[in-house]
Amino acid sequence: MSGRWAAAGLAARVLLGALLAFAGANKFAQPTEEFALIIESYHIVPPDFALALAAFLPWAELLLGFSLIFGYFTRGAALGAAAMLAGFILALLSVKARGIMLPSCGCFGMGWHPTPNQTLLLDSGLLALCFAAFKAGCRLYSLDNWADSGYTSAKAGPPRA
Amino acid sequence: MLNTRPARRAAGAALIIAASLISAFASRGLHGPIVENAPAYRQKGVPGARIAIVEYSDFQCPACRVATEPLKRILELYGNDVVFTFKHFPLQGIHPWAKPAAIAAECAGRQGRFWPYHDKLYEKQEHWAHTESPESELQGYAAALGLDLDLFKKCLADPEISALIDEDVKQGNLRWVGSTPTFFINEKRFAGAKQLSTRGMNWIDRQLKN
Repeated sequence: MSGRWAAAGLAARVLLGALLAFAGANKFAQPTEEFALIIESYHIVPPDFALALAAFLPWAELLLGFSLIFGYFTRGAALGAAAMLAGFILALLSVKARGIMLPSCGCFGMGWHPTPNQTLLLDSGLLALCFAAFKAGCRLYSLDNWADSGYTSAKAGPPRA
Repeated sequence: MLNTRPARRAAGAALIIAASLISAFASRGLHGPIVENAPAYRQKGVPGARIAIVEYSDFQCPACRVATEPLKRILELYGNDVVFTFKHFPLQGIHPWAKPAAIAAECAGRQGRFWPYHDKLYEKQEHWAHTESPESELQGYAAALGLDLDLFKKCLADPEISALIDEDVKQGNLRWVGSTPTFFINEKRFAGAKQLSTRGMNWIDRQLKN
């Protein structure tokens, strides 16, 4: 893998991670019930489940976001982020197909209000970043590299490629 | 100390969790209270009071009329601890006269009579809300409240007033207001008169105790 590809992978995972962490942190700036109401507006999950999902999603975004920024289980985090983004894209497409008019995607709390169409574009771009982050792995400036370089434990084995 | 892979993995996990926790808690007060840019004549109470109540309301909505009583009680009960802001949220799809009524109330506000006009619109809602066109009723209420009718009529046609109401609707949409009346008490949402007078009052009591 070329150094250029590794640098592109680093940029992709940091940008993707920063956006996920930004989205997660912004959701904490408002009461959980507010985000639950947004989830309910999509009419995809039962209302009873919306509050639990509203409590879970911002943590998932923060943990995945920081995992990508610091390069911790980078490939797993990129896969997790891709699954989450694919879920968001499907949810937005489903809302559009059913003719539900949403004022914004609700995905950045009160911090930013992109329209559903803008969000579809953004999420598709982020999916591409997930692919780049997954493909490049953890070669540059990552906790994965740092952890794998400390392999004095007999059980741990040599560093991974 | 951190010279084995498991130790470094654990340290990495701790770093990720710490960064997430710090971000979550730091962002809790990130945006601060949302600034409601309503004109002063649509506000009641003491500016900067500990309890900020914002209502998104529609003059043609019967539930909004019902909510005026518990709201009045709350404003009386908590007095100087409360600042109240009224925001227009005419549901034009189901209430065709809600926006003209909101414009008329704004024009009354321009002459310093927003609250009497607001009360009159709710008091007489059954009369004007079901007419073919409520213009004569809206002007009649203005005359009854002693407003300058020439100024009032000129104001009704002012596109700036309509834009002001559209701006409220835009803000309501950004806050995901889906029904009227919707109240925000120190940023917490309460939909309808019942929630306001039960959970809303409990919330105010808790806020004042903290």
